[in-house]
Amino acid sequence: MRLQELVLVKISLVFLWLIGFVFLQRSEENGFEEPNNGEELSWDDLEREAASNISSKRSHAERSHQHESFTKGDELSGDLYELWRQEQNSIAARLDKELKSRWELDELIEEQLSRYQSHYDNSMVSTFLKDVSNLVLPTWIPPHELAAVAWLGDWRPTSILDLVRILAAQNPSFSLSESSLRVLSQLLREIRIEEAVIDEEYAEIQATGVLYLPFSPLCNTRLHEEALRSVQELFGNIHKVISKAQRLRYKVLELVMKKLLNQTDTAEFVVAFAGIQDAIHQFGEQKKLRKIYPAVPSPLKGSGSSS
Amino acid sequence: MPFSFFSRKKPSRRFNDFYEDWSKTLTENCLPLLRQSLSSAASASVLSSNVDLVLRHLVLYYETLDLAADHNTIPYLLFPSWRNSLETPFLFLGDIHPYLLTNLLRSFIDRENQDSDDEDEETSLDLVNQPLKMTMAWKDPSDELVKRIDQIECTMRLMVPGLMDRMRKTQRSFVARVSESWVSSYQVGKKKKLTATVATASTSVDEAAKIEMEELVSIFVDANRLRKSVIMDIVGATSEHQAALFLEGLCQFLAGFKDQILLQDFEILSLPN
Repeated sequence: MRLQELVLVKISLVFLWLIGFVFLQRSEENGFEEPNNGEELSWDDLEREAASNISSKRSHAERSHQHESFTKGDELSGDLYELWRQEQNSIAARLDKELKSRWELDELIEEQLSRYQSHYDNSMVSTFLKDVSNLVLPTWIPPHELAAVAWLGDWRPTSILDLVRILAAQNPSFSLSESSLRVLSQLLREIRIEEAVIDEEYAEIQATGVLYLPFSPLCNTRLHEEALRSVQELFGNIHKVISKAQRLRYKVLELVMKKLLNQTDTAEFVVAFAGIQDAIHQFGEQKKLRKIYPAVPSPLKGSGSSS
Repeated sequence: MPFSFFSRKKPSRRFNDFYEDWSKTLTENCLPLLRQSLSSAASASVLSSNVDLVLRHLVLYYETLDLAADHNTIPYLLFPSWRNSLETPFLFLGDIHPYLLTNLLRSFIDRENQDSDDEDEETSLDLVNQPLKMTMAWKDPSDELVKRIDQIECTMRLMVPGLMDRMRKTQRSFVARVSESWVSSYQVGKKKKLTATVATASTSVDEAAKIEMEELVSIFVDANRLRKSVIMDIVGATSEHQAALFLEGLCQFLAGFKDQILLQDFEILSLPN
């Protein structure tokens, strides 16, 4: 009996299962898909959803993780690093430009110094005696400019040093140290003496050498060639003194630009020197245009020429 | 300045025209007059009046220079374009160096009093056409004359460095004034990111130049006063014969710079070596 009961239960279970199976099959065939889309989801669906949930959770987790540590480290730090590198490169490029301009500044200063040298050397390659006269009284420089500044045809070396002194006192960007200022004062004293020595040598020619010109009452020369040789010799001596003055001017410029001042101050000095020379030259040109020449009342009274 | 002359209806002429005439008179009138006076035929009174005449001609030149000098014209007088290139290197403040005057006088005396026989022979050639009293004029100069020359020289040696010193100071302070105002206007320009203001610079140059040119006139007038007084002092200290010889030497010297033959050669002469 027990066996029969067991068999019956099994049969009924199988039957029920079959009914259920048929029902399920039919519903699938009738296109009942809504329950699938509804709350009653298949395991696959559930599984898929769960999987997607996990992955989304993971990605969310990952994202939040990046925000907290890797954001600052990896991606964002990567950006910052990139930015930092760019900034560094940009500053380096600017510095490079500055350095290059500083080299250019060096080159410009060197170029100007060599221009000064060749300018003052040119006097030494004079060939004719009249060239010497043109050095003392340069016809291309307006008379007012000559009267204002000229010592043996050009700026006084002491005036060049005066300009450095003024720049050091007035220009706040000038960085002349106490010891450099002392050197400058010392230099001014020495150059002043050298100027005076040249003045003495020149005065000797003007007051004594001149007496050996061929027309001098003291010149015993009879031969024309000999007379011309004495003129040549005298002008040769004048040329030597003028060359000495030119060398002194260059020496002062070289000392100022190479020894006394740093690069920036040298550049400031050259700009000022050129600007001031130009201002004085313009003044001279304007005065020349006004053509106010020396005049005297006429007719002259008491002239020795009258008798 | 020329307008001021016109406004007072006083005719004026350029100084260089005056100088040309003056120089011509010196060469063509003064020098022959003195030579004539130094010849044996001339009387003492002729010599005296001619010395006086030439002295007045020289003094006139310095007085006219002073008249022509003002702050506008001083540069032309210090650097005269009417002087040729043979003489410009010898100009000291626009004219002959004052030392030249006493050096010339001393050279006459030294030459006559040298012991060397050879020198005596050479100089005698120079003075062959002159009477004995002229050739012997500088022989054994009186103590009084020597003393007087020393005095003139001493005064001059005090004055000349003073003139040079004033010239130096004037030029240096002009450059310093211009530099100061240029530097400060450059600073202002740099702050405002402008280039140095040219207008400010030119005004400051004008102002500084006005002060400088006035001082240069004063130095120039003093230099001429010195030259003039040294010439007058020498003439005053020497005998009439000596004065005539000195003035003849000076005129010969001044005229020599205008020697056309020498000037032509000078133009093509090159420097030694």
